[in-house]
Amino acid sequence: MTVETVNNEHQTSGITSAMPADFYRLLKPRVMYLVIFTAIIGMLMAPGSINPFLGFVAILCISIGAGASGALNMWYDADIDAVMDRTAKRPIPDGKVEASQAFSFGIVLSLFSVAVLGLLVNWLSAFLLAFTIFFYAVIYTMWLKRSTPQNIVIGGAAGAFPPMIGWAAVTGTVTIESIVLFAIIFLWTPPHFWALALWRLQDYDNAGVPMMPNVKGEKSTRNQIFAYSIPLAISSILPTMMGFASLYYGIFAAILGICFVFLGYKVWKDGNSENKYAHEKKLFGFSIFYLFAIFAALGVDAIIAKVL
Amino acid sequence: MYEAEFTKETVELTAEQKKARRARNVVVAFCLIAFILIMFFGTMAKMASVIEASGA
Repeated sequence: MTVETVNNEHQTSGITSAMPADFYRLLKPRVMYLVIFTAIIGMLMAPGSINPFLGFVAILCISIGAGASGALNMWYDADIDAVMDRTAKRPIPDGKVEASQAFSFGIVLSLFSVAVLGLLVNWLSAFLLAFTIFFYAVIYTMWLKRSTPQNIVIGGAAGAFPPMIGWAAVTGTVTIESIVLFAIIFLWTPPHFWALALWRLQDYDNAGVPMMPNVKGEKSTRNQIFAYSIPLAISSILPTMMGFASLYYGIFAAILGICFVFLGYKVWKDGNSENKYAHEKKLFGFSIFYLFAIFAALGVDAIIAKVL
Repeated sequence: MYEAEFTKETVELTAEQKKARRARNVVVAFCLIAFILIMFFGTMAKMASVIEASGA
């Protein structure tokens, strides 16, 4: 072995040229923003108050914990990310970060976020955060994603926990109100992702991920999208029906819910590949606006209720 | 003789790798400082909350 060979091996195998931005991309920033947003709403809606600095720490820990689970997801899914158009430019398949570095990064951030949340805020919210990371990285990524078309139905729970963690950070409890916030995101996830999966069917097929359209077919998926849109619309007005949101919010949520059900109905009745999945794309776009609008309205409603 | 060979076998970082390492080091340093400040002020805030709650 020559000196040149040794140097080349070291330069190509052991030393990274990854910039901090590449590690930041491992955290799935767009998912993290949604987590921060819903967690803040959970904290605003919770009865009682929290020291502003500790509230900031709670949001920071929840977002870092969510990011850590994203890094662990990218570590495990590097093989399928590489063959999907949507994910091929992620840091690991792109060659910017090694899989082992993503794994270490995810584990370290998970431990720090949970420990700090427990030490400075409370241990119930820390436990919920740890469970969320475990659920997303192990239950969803390692187990469900590659084994069942119900992957995003059950795995969707991981994305639904943040408002519950925010609530627990303030109150130290899990109550029916925080479970309703959980239910809204949980029921929103299947129609949102299946609308995407319908027009990305080939992508998921190439990667061997058993999404609902690939396994049960497009017709069955459209049936289920419509079926999920109804309990989603109902769950969104529950905060008013249960008395922890105003009538104004309830009217707003009902109008948005009717729009969601209508778009779900259009996907069920008229959706097909001949019109280039126009209805599915419309539902997907609206679903993002829907979740943002519902939680923004809940947040505004909570602020008004606390001020008045 | 031995020292000369040993020196040759150490890793030579490329300019790009050096730049990336420096950038990562700066971010790690920033995170460590932020962590210390968060733990200090967080502990103070938690103690203040406990004292306030106990009515002392």
